[in-house]
Amino acid sequence: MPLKWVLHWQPNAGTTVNTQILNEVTQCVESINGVKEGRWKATLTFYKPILRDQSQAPELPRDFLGISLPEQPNKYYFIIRGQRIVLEADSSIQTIMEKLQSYKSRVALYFEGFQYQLGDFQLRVGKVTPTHSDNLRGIIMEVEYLPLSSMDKSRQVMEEFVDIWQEAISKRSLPGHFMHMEPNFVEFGLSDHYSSQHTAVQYATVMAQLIATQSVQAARN
Amino acid sequence: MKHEKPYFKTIMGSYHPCFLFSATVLLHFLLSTVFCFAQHDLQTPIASHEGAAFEEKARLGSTPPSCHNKCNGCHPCMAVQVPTLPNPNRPAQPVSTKNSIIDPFFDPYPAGCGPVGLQARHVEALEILLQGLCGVHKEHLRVHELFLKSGPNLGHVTSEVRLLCNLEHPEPWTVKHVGGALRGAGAEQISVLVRNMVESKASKNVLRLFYALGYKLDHELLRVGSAFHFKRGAWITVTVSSINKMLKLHAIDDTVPVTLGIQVVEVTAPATSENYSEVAAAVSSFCEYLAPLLHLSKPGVSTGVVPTAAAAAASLMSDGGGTTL
Repeated sequence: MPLKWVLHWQPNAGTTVNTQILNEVTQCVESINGVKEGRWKATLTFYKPILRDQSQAPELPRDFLGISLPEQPNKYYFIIRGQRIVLEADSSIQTIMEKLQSYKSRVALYFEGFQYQLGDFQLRVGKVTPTHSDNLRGIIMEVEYLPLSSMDKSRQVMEEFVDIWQEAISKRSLPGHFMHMEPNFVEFGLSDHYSSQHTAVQYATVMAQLIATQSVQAARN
Repeated sequence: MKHEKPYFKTIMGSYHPCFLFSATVLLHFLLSTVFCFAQHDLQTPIASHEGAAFEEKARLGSTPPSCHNKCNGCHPCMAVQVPTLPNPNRPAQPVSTKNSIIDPFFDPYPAGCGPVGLQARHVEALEILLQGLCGVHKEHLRVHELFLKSGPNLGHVTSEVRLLCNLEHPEPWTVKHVGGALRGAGAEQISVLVRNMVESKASKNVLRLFYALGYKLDHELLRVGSAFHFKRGAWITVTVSSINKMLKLHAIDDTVPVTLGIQVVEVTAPATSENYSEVAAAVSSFCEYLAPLLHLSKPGVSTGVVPTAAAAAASLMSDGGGTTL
């Protein structure tokens, strides 16, 4: 499948993300002739262990995530970043997790927005919100290069595209910038050939970054 | 429950292996039966059963037995359903404990168990019968089953999950959760046990994931046999298999049979609460055809040796089972 980079909005120190920035970003995509194609939505869920005895804290993962992606509606992805595990399963794995009653979903977030076509690129821009509220927690952007599946072979074209994009967005003098953090896919047992598991790992990485940013801001406030 | 009906349509309309087992609810119909016959069965004059066997065959031929062209030439699901053994250390005890899964699958081990050859002959006869009924060739079944339990402090009660690796197709693996048997008046009236089962295909690092989540390996088994997948009123999977335990951790090439000479026959069909009745009827009706060789029973309830088994097997073997069916 075509490879993609998942970028997130990194607010400048002392600023927070807001809907005005999201609107500007959306307009910016349209200004570089992105053709709007429709909506997309991904869901990310944090799982927390159900402990019989809360006083005993066994060494269980605190970063256990589940992700559903729009391009694979019948699949579900589990990620434990700390242990570099990504699992692809049928979406019925969620029912199994519910039946096991060993982990429960703690927080769930939507990543949703519009999809645009721009030549050989497909862009998705969206907001990050908790499933039960409209509080904007972040802005996310997927850049997909349709002709290639190799991460390495596409690196140059992706970098060039992102440079052009950064330049376009910088003209709007927004208080922040888009950031791309490439996880070490090899550590997750993933090859150079792009798959939805790569996307899931990128989402988990972006999520960790959003949490870190918000923690810093919360501490500051 | 709104999603369930369209979902089943997806199953019906799609032939990708994943769909069948993405079912959220599978009804698990078990044909408990063991091909194990006392020596006197071997000595029973075949002639005395010949009439019965021919009758059975005539009856079998009264309904079109093949699912040929029933689904526009599709090939049904490749996935495999298998029952399991909770404790390989006590292999042949048909204990019907609520928590155990496999034990109830075994009929009591009949005294004076017959020679392996006889049992193998019956298995072969059953396979011929199945092949005739299903219109599909058997698939080899070699599945490594790992039984995991949650660690001591994880979850309010201990939970169990099974990971199955089909050694014929090592990826994807299957994650399986088997619920307790359904109860109530309806469940009492039918001759099969119905369990909720949920399965999901998963990438092969699923064992690593469950270890990371705090699950531990309880025991493991190797199931070897054959499977038939076909559509006959419902998507039905029949497996005929033996269960083996490993002498060392994960040593799939170094196993010993848990129940020497015993084969487990399992009939499974996916269903939702909406189409349960039809699926149950389809399974029951299919099982009628197997009646000459084995009977439906609830796990732990022995039907004993089917009187017509030896004759039916001999008859099936003599003509290859194909022509009259």
